[in-house]
Amino acid sequence: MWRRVVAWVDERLNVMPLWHGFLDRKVPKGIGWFHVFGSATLFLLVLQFATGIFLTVYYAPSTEHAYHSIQFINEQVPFGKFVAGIHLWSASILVVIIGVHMLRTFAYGAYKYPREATWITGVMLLFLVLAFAFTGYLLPYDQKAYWATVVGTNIAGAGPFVGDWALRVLRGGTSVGALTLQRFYAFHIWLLPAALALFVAAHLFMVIRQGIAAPPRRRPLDLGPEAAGLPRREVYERQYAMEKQVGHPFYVSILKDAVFALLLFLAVSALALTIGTPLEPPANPNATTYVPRPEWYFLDFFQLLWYLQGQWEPLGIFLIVLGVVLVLLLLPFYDRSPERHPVRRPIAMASAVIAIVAVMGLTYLGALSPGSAPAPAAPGGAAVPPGAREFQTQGCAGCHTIAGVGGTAGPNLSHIGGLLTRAQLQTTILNGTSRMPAFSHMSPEALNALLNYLESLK
Amino acid sequence: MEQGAPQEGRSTRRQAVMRALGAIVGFISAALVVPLIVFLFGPAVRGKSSWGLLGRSIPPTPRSREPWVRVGELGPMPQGEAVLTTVRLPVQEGWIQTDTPVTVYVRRSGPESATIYDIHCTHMGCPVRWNQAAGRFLCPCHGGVFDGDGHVLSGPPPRPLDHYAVKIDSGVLYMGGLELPGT
Repeated sequence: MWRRVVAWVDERLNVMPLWHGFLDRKVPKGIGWFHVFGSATLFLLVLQFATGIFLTVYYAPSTEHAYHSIQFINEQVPFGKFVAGIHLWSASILVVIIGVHMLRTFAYGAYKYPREATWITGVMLLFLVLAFAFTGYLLPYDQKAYWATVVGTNIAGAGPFVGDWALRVLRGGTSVGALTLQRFYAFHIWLLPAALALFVAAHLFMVIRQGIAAPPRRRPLDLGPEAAGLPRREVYERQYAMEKQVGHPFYVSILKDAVFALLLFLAVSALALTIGTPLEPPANPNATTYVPRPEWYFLDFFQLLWYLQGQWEPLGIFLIVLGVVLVLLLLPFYDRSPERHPVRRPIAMASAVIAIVAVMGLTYLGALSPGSAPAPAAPGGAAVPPGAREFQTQGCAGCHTIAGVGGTAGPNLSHIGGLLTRAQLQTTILNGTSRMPAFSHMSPEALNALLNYLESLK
Repeated sequence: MEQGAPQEGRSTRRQAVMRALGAIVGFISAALVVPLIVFLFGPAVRGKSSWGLLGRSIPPTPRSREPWVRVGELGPMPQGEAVLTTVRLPVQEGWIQTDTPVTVYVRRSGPESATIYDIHCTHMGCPVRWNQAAGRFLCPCHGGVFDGDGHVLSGPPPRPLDHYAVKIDSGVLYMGGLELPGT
């Protein structure tokens, strides 16, 4: 039956040559498991589109109904937890897979001539996916959603000259509320998918039109003496033809892509079914005890915000964001050496390692930091020394950790009694330091209790 | 790709058609895109904006329709302490009119004076907490610390806590608009 349908269509449209051309075309040798991340990104985007479209059947983009509509999807709709869970978890995994895909492309030097435009559209796709993430997590309108949006739009406000304007355009005014939710919905459901579709189409067109970059060789293929003086396009085409000659048909690679997609699907489904889409309490703009925390993939940036201080801080934030954008987008233009093998690009590879360590380190610190919220007051009773209670009530725990509890802005004080003398401690507390405010208002008894407590920590 | 060398006449004719096509597409695009962009941005950027080299955060608190909203009698308020107070603001957000409860810190500084602080840290907008023992506002996000008068003591906040205009009329405290520096 199926064959007859295909034959019927093919007799009219003559599409089989295209299909065979796509599947049977040769790809260079060595296109294997390292190359599954691009197709995995595409697969996860398809999952996002499929589940996202169906979520709009129940989701209501209004401050009054958004939260409860998500609750309804989670609790009442058959397979609701599965559909919403896939949307949430494949988004997280998508960010990781894009990162790996970019690293593979970087390590193989595949962004170099003639694939510069492929790299640029890829970087644009990364930014689009991050914009999806940012607009997407306001939609459930829970506490995390609301406060992450307050912080995120304020980051936009840090931009010079147009910051104020950008912030208002994002929020739909100055306050975060109904208008913000409505336009984040419009961005997330219509504008960003339209942009994404365009860039995915461009990216895929370039990949298929140019063929997958051959894995780099330590020594470039020798084209013989007659190749000297040929234009670089000609040299590239001859080399790529040689790579394809020793390569294999594309359909051999596609099986690896399918196996990896299956593994991803199983992982995402398992996460959706077991963890689902946990909601925090409904958004409450008046909560003064809430500690805003972003989704894990923005934790690195959130952590970075600890380190800039003072009047020029907004410009610092802007320059960091601009720097990251330009470094990624312009990579093929400032790294113009034709050398592609990672072993022969020590500076490029070292920079990549530094970038990975920085991102992972900041994410780790951000995940570790409980926020500088004063920890809930220790339970009373004789067991708690008065100095420990003072440590809590004065807000010291906001920045200092003792025995695993507290903030990370200031030094960990778990063993401070063995490091500083009582006099040194007293001076620091009363006068402050360049990064710590003075606590000269404390009563002598309270100060004494606090010093006793800190001295006892060895 | 064209077959062989195009005739001179045909080539210029095609160029002319392409130019006309470009002009038509350009006109339609501009006539559509400009209104669409203004449609998207218009209401959002209404009002005063600041265009300085240094950007800034803006509290996400809804703005009141009325110039003055009653907060309460000043008499029973304790002095020197920042008290979390909920005020019902008449709010107009686009097409939505509501009475929205908004919490602010009211700090009475004397018999006839008080300051009303917005609850959001001037760094990134996280909600600050008043710590009575220390007499300070602490931000839970990046370690910002403000003294009782809203001045920055430490951490990344680039400016003091934002406050609202106040009016005291026969012992009653009224809250006015947000006094954001630079607008």
